[in-house]
Amino acid sequence: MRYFIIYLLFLCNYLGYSQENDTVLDTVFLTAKKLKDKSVGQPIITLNKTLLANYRPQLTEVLQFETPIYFKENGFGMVTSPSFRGTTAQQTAVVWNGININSAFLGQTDFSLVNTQNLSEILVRPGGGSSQFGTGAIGGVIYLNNHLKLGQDNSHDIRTSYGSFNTINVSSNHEISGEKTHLQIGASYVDSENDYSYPNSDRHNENGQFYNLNVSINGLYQLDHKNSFKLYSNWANSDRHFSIVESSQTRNKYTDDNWRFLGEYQHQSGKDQSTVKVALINENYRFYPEIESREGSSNGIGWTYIVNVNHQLQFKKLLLNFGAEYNLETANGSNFDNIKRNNGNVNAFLKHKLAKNFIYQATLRGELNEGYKSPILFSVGTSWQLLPQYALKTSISKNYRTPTFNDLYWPGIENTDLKAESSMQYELSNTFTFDNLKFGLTGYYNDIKDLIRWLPYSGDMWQPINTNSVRSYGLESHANYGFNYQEHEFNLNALYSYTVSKNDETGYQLMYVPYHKATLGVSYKFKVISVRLNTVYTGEVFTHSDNNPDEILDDFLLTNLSANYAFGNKDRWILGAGVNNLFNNDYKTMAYRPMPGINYQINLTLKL
Amino acid sequence: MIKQFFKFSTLSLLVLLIFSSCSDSDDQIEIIKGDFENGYFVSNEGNFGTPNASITFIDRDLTKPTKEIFKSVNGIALGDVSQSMAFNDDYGFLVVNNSNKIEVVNKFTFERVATITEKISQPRYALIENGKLFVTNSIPKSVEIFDAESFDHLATIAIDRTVEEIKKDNGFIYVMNASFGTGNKITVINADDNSIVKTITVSDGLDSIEIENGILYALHKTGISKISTSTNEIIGEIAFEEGLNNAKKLEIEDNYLFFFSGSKIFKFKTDVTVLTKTELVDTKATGEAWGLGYGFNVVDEKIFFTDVKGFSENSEVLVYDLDGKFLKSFTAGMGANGVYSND
Repeated sequence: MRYFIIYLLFLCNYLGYSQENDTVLDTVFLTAKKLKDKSVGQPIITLNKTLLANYRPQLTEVLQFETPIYFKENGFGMVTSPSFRGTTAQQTAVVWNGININSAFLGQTDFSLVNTQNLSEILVRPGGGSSQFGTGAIGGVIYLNNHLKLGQDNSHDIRTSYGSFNTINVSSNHEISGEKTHLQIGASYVDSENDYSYPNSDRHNENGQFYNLNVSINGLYQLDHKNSFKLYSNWANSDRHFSIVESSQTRNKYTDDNWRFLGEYQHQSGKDQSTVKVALINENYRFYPEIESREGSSNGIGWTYIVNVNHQLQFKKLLLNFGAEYNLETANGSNFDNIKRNNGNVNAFLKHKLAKNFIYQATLRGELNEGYKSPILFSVGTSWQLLPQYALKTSISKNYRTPTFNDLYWPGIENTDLKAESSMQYELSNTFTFDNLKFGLTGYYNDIKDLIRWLPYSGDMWQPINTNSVRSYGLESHANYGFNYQEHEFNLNALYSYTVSKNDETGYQLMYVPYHKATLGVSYKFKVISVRLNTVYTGEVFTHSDNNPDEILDDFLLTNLSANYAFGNKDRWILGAGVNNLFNNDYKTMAYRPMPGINYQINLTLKL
Repeated sequence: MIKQFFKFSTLSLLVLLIFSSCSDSDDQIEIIKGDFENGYFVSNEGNFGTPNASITFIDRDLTKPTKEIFKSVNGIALGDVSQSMAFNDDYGFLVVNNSNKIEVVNKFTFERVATITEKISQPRYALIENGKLFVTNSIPKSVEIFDAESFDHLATIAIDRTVEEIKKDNGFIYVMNASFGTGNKITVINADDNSIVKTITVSDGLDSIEIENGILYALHKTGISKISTSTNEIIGEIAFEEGLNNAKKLEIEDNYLFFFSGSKIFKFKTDVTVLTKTELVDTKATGEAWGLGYGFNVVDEKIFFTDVKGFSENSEVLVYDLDGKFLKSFTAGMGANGVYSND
C-alpha cells in the first residue's frame, strides 16, 4: 500500500501520457496499413526496438514493465500466462505480423517462450479485437511486428549478454536493403541455469534450466510499383525444465519446436489494393515426465494452414475492405489422432472520415466453424478530435475465444453444443497531447459469457461446458513527459491501471487479477551515456477463488536499473550493465513460485 | 491456545475412557502423549505441482479445526500432494505423492521422525503389517516394503499392474490394481514371504476395497463383490439397483456398507442382496460432481464427506452420524481427500 501511495503521488506530479500519437486526421487519404490505422477508437502502446533492447528477451518482462497486463509466472523463465484487463490466459491474442499465433492446443501463448529480439516492434492494444484478429482478442491484442521497407540503411547488430545464474544471451540482427528488396535476418539464443536462490529462504530454484533459440528471416521483394511479395518466417526451439518445489520430486521437462511461415502478395491498382496471404504454422511439443527418458513422454503436433484474401477500395473519405479466410487446423500426438478442423470467415472493414475532426471505423465478421458455434463479431470505433490537444475515442465490440483442440477433441469427450466464449465490451478514451506531455485515460466495461470450463458429466468422464460469466471493468491511464536540456535528454513514462473482474455468480474478484498496477520508467541520456530506471508496482492478488484473505500474494515493487556507454568509431560499441530487482524484493506472481532476488547482467553490443 | 487444547484433550480423553471402557479393563488414565492424540486428521492433497499439501487436525468433538499441523510443528511445508495416511502404534506415515516421499511423524505430536524417499516414486497408499511398512508405488508399479522402525528398505514386490489401495487380513496383503475408474483386479500377497499368491478378477471399474470380518468387499461399476480372505475366492456379489450409478469409496463400519454417489450417501447392511437407490442422506452439496466426496470416510461412528470446491479454495468437510444426521461442518485445507483417526 505504501508503494501505491508513492505511485499516486508520482502520478499527480508528473501527469504525462505515453499513448501512440493520435491518428493524424488531416492526411489526404485514409489508410489501413498499420495496426494504428485499423484501430480507430482504441489507444495503442508502442514498444519499439530500442525500448525492447532494454529488457531481457522473454516477452514477459517488457510487457510487465510497460503495459497494464498481469503475468502469472511459475518462476522465472517458466510457464507464463497473462491476465489482460482481468481476463483469463486464453483471452489475450498474440498476433505475429497479422496472424494469430495462440496455441491451437492450449488457446494461449506462453510469454516466456516468445523472444522479442528479432522483432521490429511490439504493439499492445487493450480491448476487443476478435473481428480483426480472431480468437482470444478479448482482454487485448499483443501485436508482434516486423517492418519490411525499401530504402532503409543496412545495419548489423550483434549483442551479447552475460548475467546471474549463468545466463547467456546472444543475438544477431541484420537489415539489408537493395533497390527492390529488403532482407531482415535475426537470430537470438538464450541459455540459463536459472538456479536462483529464493529470497528469505535456504532453497533455490531447482531444475529450472532452459534454453531457447529463435531465428527469423523476413524479406520483401518489390517487383514494380504495383506488385510486391513478402515472406515472413520464424523458428523457435526451446528445451525447458520445469522447476520443482522439493528436491525429492521427479525432474521433468518440456520441449517446444514451432515453425511459422507467412507469404504475402500485394497488388496495387490505382487506389484499390488486393492482398493474398498464405500461412503455415507448426506447433510441436513434448512433455518428458522424467528428463532422462523419452519413455512415457507425451506430445502434440499441430499444423495450421491459412489462406486469406483481401480487397481494399479507397475513396477520398472512405476506405472499404472485404476479406475472406479459410483455415485448416490439424492435430496429432499422444491425445489426438489425426484431428482436422475447418474454419472459414468473411469480414468487412469500413473506415470513414465523416468530418475534418471525426473519424470512425466498423468491422463485421461472420464465421463457419467445425465443432463449435461462434457468434457474429463486430466492432465500431470512433475518434473525435475536439481540440488540437484533446481527442475523445469510443469503441464497442463483440469478441470471442474459440474452443481449443483440448476442449474439443480430448479423447472421450464430446460436447456438440459447445460455444465460443463471447464478450461484449465498451470503452471510452480521452487523450491529451501537448508539446512534451501526453496523457490518456480510458474506462472500459467488459461482459464475458459462456466461459469454457471442464466439468465431469458421468463418473470419471469430463466435458468442457459453457458456464460462468465474468464482468470486468476498470480504468487505464498513461502519461509520458519528455524534455531536453542542452544535451541532456529526459523521458518519463508512467501508467496506472485499476481492474475489477468479478465472477457473476459469486461476486468474487477473479484469482490472480490485481486491482492495482502501476509502472514508472525514467530515462536519461547525455552524449554517450544513458541510464534507465524501470519500476512496476503490482497490487495484491487472491490465489483462492473465494478471495480468502489468508491466501493472497502480497503487493510488490520491482525495479530494474541499467546504464549504457557508447564508444569507439561512430559509437559503434555499446557497453551496458544492469541490475534487476534492485531492492532485492521477495515477490511471487504465482503462489509458491518465488521469483529471483537482486541479479545482474552485463552486455556488449556492436552496431555496424 | 495450545494449553487450552491440552486441557480439552485431557477432558475428552477422560470422558472417552469413562464411556468406552468395555474392552479395556484397566481404567488407568494415560499420560497425554501430544496435541494430536485425540481427534481426526484430514489429509489435504493440495494442488498438483504446488507444495500446499497439508494436514488439518480436529478434536474428537469437532470443536475447532487446526490447520497445517505438519508445517506448524516442523516448520516446513508437507509437500506436493498428500495422497493418504497410515498409522501404527507410534507413527503416522504421510504418503506425499508428487514429492516422492513418505514423511514419518510421531502420531501424537506430529514431530517429524524420518523422511523415506528410497525407491519411492509417486506413492499412493500404505499400511503397516508385522512391523513392516507396505507402500504402493505407482511409477514402477510395485509394492515397496520398509522396516517400520528403522525405515530401511527391505524388499520390492513387482506387481506390473496399476497399484492403488492396499489392505490386509489373515496374513495376506491385498493390492487393488485399478485407479480412476479403470481396472478390475486385486493382487493377493503373502505377507510372510512377499510372494504373490494370486490375482482376483472382479467387474470393471473397480473403485475401492474394504475388509471386515474375513470378507473383502470390492466396489465396482455394477455392484460389490465379496471375497473370502481365507480362501481368496469370490463368495458373492451384491448388485446395484438400476439407477444407482457412479458409486464411490466403499467404507464399512459396524457391519454396514457405506458409499456415496454424487451428493448422496448410501448405507446398507453387509448381508443385503441388492443395493437400492435409496440414500441414507443427501448432503445437498453442490458444485462439480468430482469435487463432491473427494474425501469420504467412515471413522469412529461418523461419516466424513468432503467437498474440494474445484481445488480453487479450501475444502469443506461435512460430518454425519451413522444414521445420516448432520453433525457439523468445518473447513479443511486445499483438496481434502481423506479423514483418519490416529488409533
